[in-house]
Amino acid sequence: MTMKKTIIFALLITVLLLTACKPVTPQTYTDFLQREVTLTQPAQRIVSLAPSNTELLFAVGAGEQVVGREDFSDYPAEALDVPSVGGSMGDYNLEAIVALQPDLVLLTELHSPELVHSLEGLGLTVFYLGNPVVLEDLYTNIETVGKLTGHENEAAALVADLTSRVSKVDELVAGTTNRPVIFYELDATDPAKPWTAGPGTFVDQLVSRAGGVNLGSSLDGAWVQISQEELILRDPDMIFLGDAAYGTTPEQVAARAGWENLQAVTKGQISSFDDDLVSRPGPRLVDGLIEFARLLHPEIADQLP
Amino acid sequence: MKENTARPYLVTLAILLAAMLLSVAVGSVVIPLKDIFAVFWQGITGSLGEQIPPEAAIIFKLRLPRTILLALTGAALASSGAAYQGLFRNPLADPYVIGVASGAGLGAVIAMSIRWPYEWASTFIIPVIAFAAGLVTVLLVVVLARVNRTSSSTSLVLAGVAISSFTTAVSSFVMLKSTGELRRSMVWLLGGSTLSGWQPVLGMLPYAVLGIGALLTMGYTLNVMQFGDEQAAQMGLRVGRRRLIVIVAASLTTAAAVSFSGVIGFVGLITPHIVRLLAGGNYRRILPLSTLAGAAFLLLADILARVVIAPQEVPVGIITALTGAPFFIWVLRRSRPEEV
Amino acid sequence: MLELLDVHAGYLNKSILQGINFTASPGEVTALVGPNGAGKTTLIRAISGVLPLQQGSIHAFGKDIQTLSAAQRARMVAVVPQATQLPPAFTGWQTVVLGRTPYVNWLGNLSHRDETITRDAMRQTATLELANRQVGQLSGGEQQRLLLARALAQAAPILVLDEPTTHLDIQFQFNLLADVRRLAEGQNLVVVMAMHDLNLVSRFCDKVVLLNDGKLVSYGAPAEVLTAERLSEVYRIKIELHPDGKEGQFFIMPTLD
Repeated sequence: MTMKKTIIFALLITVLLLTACKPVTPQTYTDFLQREVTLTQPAQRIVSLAPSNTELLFAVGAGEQVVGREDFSDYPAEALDVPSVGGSMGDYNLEAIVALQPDLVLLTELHSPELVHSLEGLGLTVFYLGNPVVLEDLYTNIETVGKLTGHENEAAALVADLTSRVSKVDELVAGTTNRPVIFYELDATDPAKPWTAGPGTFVDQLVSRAGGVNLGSSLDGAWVQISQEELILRDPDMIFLGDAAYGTTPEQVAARAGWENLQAVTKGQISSFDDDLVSRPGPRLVDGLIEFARLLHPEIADQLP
Repeated sequence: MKENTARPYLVTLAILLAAMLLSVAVGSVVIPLKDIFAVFWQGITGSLGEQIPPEAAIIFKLRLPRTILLALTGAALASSGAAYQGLFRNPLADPYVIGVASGAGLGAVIAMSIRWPYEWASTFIIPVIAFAAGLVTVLLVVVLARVNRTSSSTSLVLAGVAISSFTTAVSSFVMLKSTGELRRSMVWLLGGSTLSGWQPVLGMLPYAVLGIGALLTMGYTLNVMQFGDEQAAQMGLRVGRRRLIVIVAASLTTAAAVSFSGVIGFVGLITPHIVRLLAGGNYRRILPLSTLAGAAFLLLADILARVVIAPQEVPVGIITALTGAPFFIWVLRRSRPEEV
Repeated sequence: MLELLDVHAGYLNKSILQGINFTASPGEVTALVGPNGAGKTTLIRAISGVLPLQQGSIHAFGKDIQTLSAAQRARMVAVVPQATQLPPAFTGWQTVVLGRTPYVNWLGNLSHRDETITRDAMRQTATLELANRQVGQLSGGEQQRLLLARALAQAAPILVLDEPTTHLDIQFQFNLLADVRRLAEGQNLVVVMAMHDLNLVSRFCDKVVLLNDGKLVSYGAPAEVLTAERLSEVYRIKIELHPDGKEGQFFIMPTLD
C-alpha cells in the first residue's frame, strides 16, 4: 500500500473507533415520583422488582443486564435463570439485593415510596416507573427503559412494531359490526360474587379496543365484585376466564349452580385467558389486545398480526 | 430464704449475646465470624474507605440494626407480657390483651392504604400512625373499663376484648377495600420488621427503653398484686394508681414494638410463662429475666425465619406462632394442677 | 383503740351497714358475728379502708382512717384474709415479707429491720419452717398461719381477721385462736375477728358485736350478747344454751323442737 492509503486507512480506523466508543456522560432522568435519578452510564446490573419490569427489560434486549428479579417474574423463560430476591412471601430480601451490587433497582407503582427510602438508605440507585394508564404510556415506559439500559434503538423498534400491530387491529376491528358483551372473570372463589375488571383497567380498555364491551365497565372501581344475580340479568355473550391459571375450567363454570342458563354457557362461549397478558403493564398488553380480538371476532382471526 | 443467685441472669444474658452474634452472622448471605469481626474493626478504626464492600453494608445497614430492633422488640413484648400476666393474674395474658396491637394494626392498615406523597413517605409514616392508634385504643379501653366505676382487672380485659374485636373487624374491612395493599397489610399483621436500617431502631428506642425501664421497677408491685386488689390495698398499695402505671408502661412499650416490627405473637405469652415455671413466682426476677429471654427468643426465631427457606424470608410472626403449639402441649403435660 | 361512729357503708346505691357504733380496745379480742349477709365482710372492708364510708367515721387511735393514705392506713390496720386462692408459686417467706409493704420503697428493697420483723412474725406463728416451701403445697392451716404472720409483719396495732377458722380442721381452729389471743394480750393489739362459729366465740373472745341485716343488734361480753332469745331471733331458729361444765361457758346449739 502507498503511504497515503495507509494514512487514510489509519484515520478511518481511528474515526470508527472514536465513534464506536461514545463518550460516556452522566445522564439524569426523572422518574414517576419526580425524583432525579443520575446514571453515569447505562445500567449494567439491574434488579427488577416487578414482573412487568422484567418483561420490559428483556423486550428491549437488556436481558443480559438483569442480575436480580423478584419471585413472580416468569416471562420470558430466560428470566427464570436470573436469581430471585424474594417477594412472594412478604418483603424482598434486602440482603440479597445488596449482595448483587446492582447499579439500578427498578420499581413500579406496586411499591411504596417507603421502599424507595429504604433502598436509597442502603446506597442503591432506584428508579420508580409509573403504571401506564393508556397504551401510549406503555410506549413511553419502553423508551425510558431503553434509555436507562442503553438500548434506545431496540426500544424504538419495539414501539414501532407495537404501534403498527395495534393499528392493524384497529383497522380490522373497525370493519366488524357486532360488539359482544363479555364477562372477564378474575376470581370466582365465591361464585355468588365473582371478581372482575372495572372501568379504566387495561382489560376494560383492550376489550373495547378489540371490538367488545366489558360487562364490568358499568361497575365502580378497578377490581370489583359483581353479584351472580346481576350477572345472570346482564347475560353476557362470552366469558373469559382470567383465573384459568388457577385451575378454573369452562366445565367447572358450566357446573356452577345458577350459571347453567347463561347464554355464554349454553353456547359454549367460555374461553381461558392468560391474565398475565393484561395484568402486567408490559409489551404483552398488545398480545392481550390481539387475543381479545381473536376471541371476540373469530372471523378476522387469521388476518390478525 | 434469699434467692439472689446471679446464675439465671448470666445464663440468659449469655444466650442473648450468642443469639445476637448469630443474628449478625446469618442470613441469605452467610458471613463468617472472622469477617464480621474484621468489618467491625474496620468500622471502629475508620478504615472502611469510600466504597463500602457489600458485606460491610449488609452488616452495618441491615443486620446490625435489625438485630437490635428485634432484640428490643422481643424485650418489649416479653416484659409487657410478664407484667400483664402478673397484673391480671392470668398466665394466658399477653401484651395485646387490652387492645394495643389491634389498634396499632388498624392504624398501620389505614396508613398503608393511603398513597402518601413521596416527600411525606419517610420510613416513619406508618409506625407513627400505628403508634398513635395503639395508644388511643388503650385509652379507649381504660375509659370504657371505668364505666362500672372501678377499672378492675376483669373490666379491663372485657373492654379490651370488645375494642379489639371492633378494631380487627374494621381492619379487615379496610384491607378488603384496598386490595392493592392487601399483601403488605397481611405481612405486617403477621409480624416482621418491614423496615430496614437504623431509623426504626432510633424511632423505637426511647419508648422501648422508657417503657421497659418503668416495667422493671414494678416487680414488687406485681408480687403484692398476686393476692388480689383487696389484699393489695389492705397491705398499703394504691392499687388503681399502680395498675395504671403498669398499663401505661406496657402499652407504650408494646405500641412501640408493634409499630416498628409488626404484630408478632407468642413472644409475650410464652417467654414469661417459661421464665415463671423455671425461676419461680417472684416478679422481681420474672420481669428482668423475661426481658432478656424475650430478646433472645425473638432473635432466634428471626434467624430461623431467615434461613428456613432462604433466600426468601418467612415473616417472623409465623415462626413464633409455630412455636405456640408445642409450647402449650409442653405446659399441659408438665403443669401440676394447682400451678397453672 | 378502734372506734366506729355511726358507720354507714355499702356498694353503689345500696347501704349494707347502717349506724354501726362500737369501740374495740387494745388487748381485747372482739368478735363480729351474725348470719351470712349481715355485713361482717363489709364491716371488715370498711375498717381496713378499702370501702369508703357513706356516713359516719372510723378512728384508729384517734386518727380518722379516711384521711390517711393507703400506706398510713396499712400501718394502723392489718387484715388476715381467708386462706383461699393464694398464689401457689410463692414461698412462705415471699408471702410473709409482703406484710412490710407499707414500709418499703417502690422497688420493695428490704432493710435488715424488715427482715428481722418478718422472721419474728414467722416465729410467733410457728411458720419459720414453711419459709422455703411453696404455698400451693401447704395445708389450709399452714396457709392461714402464713397470712397471720404476714399481718403481724405489718406491725399494725389493729389486727382484723376475716373468718380465719372457716377452712380449718378442728385442731387448727383451736390453735389459731389460741395464738390470736396470745398475740392480742402479749402485744396489746386491738383484735377484731369475724366469726362463724358461735361456740368458739364464747371461748376466745372478750367482746362480741352481733350484726343482723346491717344493723348492730347487740354489743358487749359474750355472756350478755349471746342469749338464747336474741340468737333465736337473729338466726331464725330455736337456739338453746347448755352449760358445758366450765364456769360461765355454754354450748350454743340450735334445736328443731
